[in-house]
Amino acid sequence: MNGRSLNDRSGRIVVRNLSKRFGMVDAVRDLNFTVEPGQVTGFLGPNGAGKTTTLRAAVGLVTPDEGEVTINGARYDQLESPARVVGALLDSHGFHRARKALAHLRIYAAAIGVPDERADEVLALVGLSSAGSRRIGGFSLGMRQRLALATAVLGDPQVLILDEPGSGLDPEGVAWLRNFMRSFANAGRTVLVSSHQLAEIGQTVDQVVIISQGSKVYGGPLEQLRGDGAPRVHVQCSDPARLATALAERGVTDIQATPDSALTVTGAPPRTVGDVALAAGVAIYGMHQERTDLEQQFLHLTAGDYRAGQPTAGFGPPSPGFPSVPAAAPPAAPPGPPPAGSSAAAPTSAAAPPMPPPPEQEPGTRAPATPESRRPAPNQQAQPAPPPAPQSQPAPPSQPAPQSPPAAQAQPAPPATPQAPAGQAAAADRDDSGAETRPAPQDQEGAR
Amino acid sequence: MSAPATPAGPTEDGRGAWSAAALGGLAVAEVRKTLSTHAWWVLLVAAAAITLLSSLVTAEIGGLAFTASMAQATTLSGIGTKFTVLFGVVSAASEYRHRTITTSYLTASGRPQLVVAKAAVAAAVGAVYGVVCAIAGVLGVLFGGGQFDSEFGAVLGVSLAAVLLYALWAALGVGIGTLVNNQLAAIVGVLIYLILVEQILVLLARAADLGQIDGYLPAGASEAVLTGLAGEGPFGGLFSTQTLPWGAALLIFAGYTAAALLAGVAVAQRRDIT
Repeated sequence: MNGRSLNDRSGRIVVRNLSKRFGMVDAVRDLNFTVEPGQVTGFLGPNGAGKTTTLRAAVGLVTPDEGEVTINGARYDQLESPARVVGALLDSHGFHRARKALAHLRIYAAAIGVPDERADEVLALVGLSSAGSRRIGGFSLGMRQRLALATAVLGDPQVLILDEPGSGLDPEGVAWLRNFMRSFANAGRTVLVSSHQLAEIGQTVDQVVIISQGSKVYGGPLEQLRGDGAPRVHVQCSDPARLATALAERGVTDIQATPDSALTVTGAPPRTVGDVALAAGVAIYGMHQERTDLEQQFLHLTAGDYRAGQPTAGFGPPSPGFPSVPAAAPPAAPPGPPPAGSSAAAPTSAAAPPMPPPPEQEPGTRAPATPESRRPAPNQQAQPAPPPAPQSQPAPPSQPAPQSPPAAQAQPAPPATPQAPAGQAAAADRDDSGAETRPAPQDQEGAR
Repeated sequence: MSAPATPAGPTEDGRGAWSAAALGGLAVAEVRKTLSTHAWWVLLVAAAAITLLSSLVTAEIGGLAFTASMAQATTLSGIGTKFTVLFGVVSAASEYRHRTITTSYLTASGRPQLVVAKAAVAAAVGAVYGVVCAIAGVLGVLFGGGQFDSEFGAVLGVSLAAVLLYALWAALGVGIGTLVNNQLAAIVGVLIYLILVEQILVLLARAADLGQIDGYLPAGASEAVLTGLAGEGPFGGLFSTQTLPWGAALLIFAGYTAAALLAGVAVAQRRDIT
């Protein structure tokens, strides 16, 4: 303003205490993160997590209720020629159908103040030169996406903000986009790209910010997130209940039952599991180790936003409610010095990311970090999810294993059950797929 | 295909947010937006054709009762203004309808600047509407047997005023289209107001003994400018119910335009584009 731009040319995007509410919906809650130049930063979250709201707030289209987003040290509306600093792809449908592609670009070239030739350049850049004189109404989604990208880079910006740029692109287009983002970042510029699919951008991004229900659940290098996924051991044995108890006694608490009467143990190497089983007199029929992949980490972190109903019922044999001592239950392992047997848990703690900004994720704990980084329950309740049903799906904490068929409930309660809060027993029961079950919602439920 | 090799250079090119360069660029962009779509000429052709017919009929029926300039003035006031204001409404509201407003705001130096540039360009287009409709009106009156013999000055006055008024109408439309960003609602609302609501207000005021408020309402003020400039002829007083001098009416109408634009800017500043 006043002719003096606040632009510090750092290329840094800073989201500070950003909150935005639409009617009853908390779209974004006290979000903090920084995007550095020279890197591709992925901005991930499920549908409705607040990604678009955040990005639109970054470019001044949405006015935050609290906090602010600065780019190059200034709010978008304080930048003198904003479109020359920031290029944004926010809407692949933001075209007048009757307009021709080149005419569209020339309009905004004039608005930004770049020469008309720039319109031809960016059209060639995205491979649409031959379609320049065609009406946008006849474009495929992929072509529109390319045109939207061409529009975003018209002003030769230093910072690029892309909201779901990959949707509608063919594989070639996606590969090209990755390449483009990479070279853009390699030139020392800033790229912030959102997606609801980690796989889509997982190969390209250096840093990730993951949000869920409007709050950050992870922020840091992608590699660290990958490392976060502690190895998990899948064990088939003669007496899962006894093995689980024995493991719990050794401080290995993240144990989940799978529908095929096996156990998934997180935080202990196969060797430990085998030793414990031997000591407990449990026969092992099979054991294999899996590493949590990024996708599972992502799902884990963002669990509970919009969950489809659990496919538990009629999905394999009913799992007996054996003594699952889920991750969120600390009592089994005193938080003091780690018990000898839990040496396997150490890598997890070491690998847990100390967040650069204030602790929205608690270092050292995996599963519990998710719910704790979120707001207290009242807020959760205040947020009506667009698909209303799923939120009410999780088991009420008072009923153990309500989703198991009656036969399961009729079974005598295994000895260790009282240790585990009922709601978490339900969580274990519902771990049907053998994948990382997502205890977060249950924890929230239990917290209420 | 590769991104440029160096970080962006200086971004300050001496363009302040309200600088002539910034506003000029936005104005060029608005001209290009207008010319790259059909609305402007579709509405213009319709306005010219109906103005021609209407003035022809008015001159034919009005005969001696109307002066030729009065026939032109009433037609210009009743027909072309509606198309012109609709053009303004569409040029603003279609940005929301087609969701181009996102890119328009991103590439503008600011939201008020965009509204100002849009209003200025719409006003220029509105002036073109004014010229075309004034000519169509003259032609229609001629075809309808009207005589301009002694009325050259009046016809010129009405025509020039129409150019100015139409420019204001288009800008008024931009204000409304920005204020009510649902294009259909804005169009329907404007037409209902012009065709129905304002007449009812006038009648109510008359019934309530509030006197002649015609000239103080937008459409009435616009009409007062044109009919005030037209020669009255033998029975002109019967048709011209206006009591305001045309200059005052013009000021009042300009006031409405300014108010609509200011309201549009104020709302646009606050509106979240999601």
